[in-house]
Amino acid sequence: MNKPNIRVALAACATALILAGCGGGGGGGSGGGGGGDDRAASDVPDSALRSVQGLVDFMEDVIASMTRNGSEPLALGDVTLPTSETLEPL
Amino acid sequence: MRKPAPSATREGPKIRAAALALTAAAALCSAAAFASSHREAPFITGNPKVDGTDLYLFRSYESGRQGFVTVLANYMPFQDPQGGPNYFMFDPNALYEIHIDNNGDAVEDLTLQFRFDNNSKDAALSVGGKQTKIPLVVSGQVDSVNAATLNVRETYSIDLVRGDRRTGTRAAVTRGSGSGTRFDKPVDNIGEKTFPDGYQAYAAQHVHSVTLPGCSTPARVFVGQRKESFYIAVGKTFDLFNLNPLGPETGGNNNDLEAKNVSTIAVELPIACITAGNEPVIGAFTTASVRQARLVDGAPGSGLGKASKEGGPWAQVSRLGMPLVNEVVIGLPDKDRFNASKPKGDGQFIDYVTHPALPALIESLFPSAKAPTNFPRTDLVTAFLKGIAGVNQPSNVVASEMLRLNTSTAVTAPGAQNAMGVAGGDMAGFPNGRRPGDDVVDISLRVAMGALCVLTGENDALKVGCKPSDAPSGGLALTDGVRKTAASYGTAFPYLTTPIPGNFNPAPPAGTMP
Repeated sequence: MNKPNIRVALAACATALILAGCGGGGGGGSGGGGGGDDRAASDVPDSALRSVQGLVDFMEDVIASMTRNGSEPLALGDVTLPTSETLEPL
Repeated sequence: MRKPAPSATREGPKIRAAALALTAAAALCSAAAFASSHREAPFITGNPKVDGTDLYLFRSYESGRQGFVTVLANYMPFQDPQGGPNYFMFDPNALYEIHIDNNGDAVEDLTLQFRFDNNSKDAALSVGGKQTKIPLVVSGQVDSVNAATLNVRETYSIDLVRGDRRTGTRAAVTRGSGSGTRFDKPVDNIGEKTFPDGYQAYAAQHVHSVTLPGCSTPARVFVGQRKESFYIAVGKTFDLFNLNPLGPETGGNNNDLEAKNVSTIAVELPIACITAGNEPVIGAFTTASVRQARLVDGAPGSGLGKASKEGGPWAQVSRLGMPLVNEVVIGLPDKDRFNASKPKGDGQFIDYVTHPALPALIESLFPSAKAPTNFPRTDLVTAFLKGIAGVNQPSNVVASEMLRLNTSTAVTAPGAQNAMGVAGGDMAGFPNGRRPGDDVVDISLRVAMGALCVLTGENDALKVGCKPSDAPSGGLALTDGVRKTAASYGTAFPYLTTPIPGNFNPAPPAGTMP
């Protein structure tokens, strides 16, 4: 997975994330810009926005590969994360 | 779904005979006794907005309302009244639920889902030619619903789900007077200057008459801050029971929660619309869930709710039925698991009930107070997971932890309520449901130490699987020294009292610097 300029922000819900290890699908940042002026730029890949499973896979990848001191947070831009009212936690 | 409303005077034929067995049901509380469920699990201490603290479930004792059940679900513990400028809004990224099992199968049949929305009005002042946004949730005095001076409007919606909470049939609860589906929550009690007509009058405007889908009788809803209703000498209790457990039941110690507020979701539901068939007993429990995934924004935009983005399914992080289960029954490593669990899976926690740690802890601290010796503790299992036969046990009960109420039990008027509930001869009290004034701490302490084994007698009349000799300390009047009665609470919906105002400015504790 190629994330040359990815900045990492870890979520607070680690215990709710049932992680089976790095799933596929997540990652591949958009190369997000570092400037705060462009609110639309996001490091969250499309794969994480298309489905709840894709989101969880992305989160697993973030936690597994990007948890380190010195990282900068991911740019979130104006993305809307997918949700589900019916699925049990993945 | 509809049944005739139960008579206000009808009682189960075996209730009186099984009266003493109520302590068996209280056995659940026996382990569950101490601070109900305030900051009781490691994960939830970091998520106070979704921390369920207490569940009350009782047949309404407001005059003329005996055909209804009141459910009070409290969240956000240890609120200091002075907690501005944001105070204690419900989390718009959370799902708050009240679940009802009306056939005893350990699975919810009805769920009320509450979702919140906190909208900033971006109130600003003209300062030197510029519009400067104010730093407060109000810009002036407040006296009405959605007053212009409110800088943040807190509203909520309610859905009723029939069947499984996630996959069941969902429909919106609507305003009684029309089709609106959003309800206003009053801002917290900021202080006496903010509310010129008094906070009580302001908050009372937010009691809503609502229509439940499929129910012809209106229900009532109130969501807002209340004075903390639970009472306990919690500090001394957790300080290795640093108190006299055989001291006075009233006035022996101070209530450590007396100067705190709490946030309440209160509903009053027609009994005919929440019971099923001929089964008068309902089980209830509350939960709170958050989105499974959260991304914190390192550069949030301006406005409320910009600091993070949430996604994924709902993940349950708080669960509460009988008081104090997760507080003092479930072992520390499993408290987060319990909060994420469902009643149908309670077999995984059975050892905490059959071999409870609390009595052994008490004996280690007070060697003369011998813990019961009947293992497994069938006395606790019988009442803890099923309810008491003839009192509040469903006909076809599947063992599971929840608060159970027999909706056919006659109401006890406030002035006649006994804080010891069924143990004190008051059949409408805990553990047959739970009213605000019921002393669940004292009841639970006594049952933990085997009160049921004493009550059942040599012939085990209550069929709880133990006898008096199994519980040498089962007859002790154990207490934390804090006692309230129904007189400490209201006599009408929502029963819990006006919260302490934020301008409350108490003197510093003795020995501290002023």
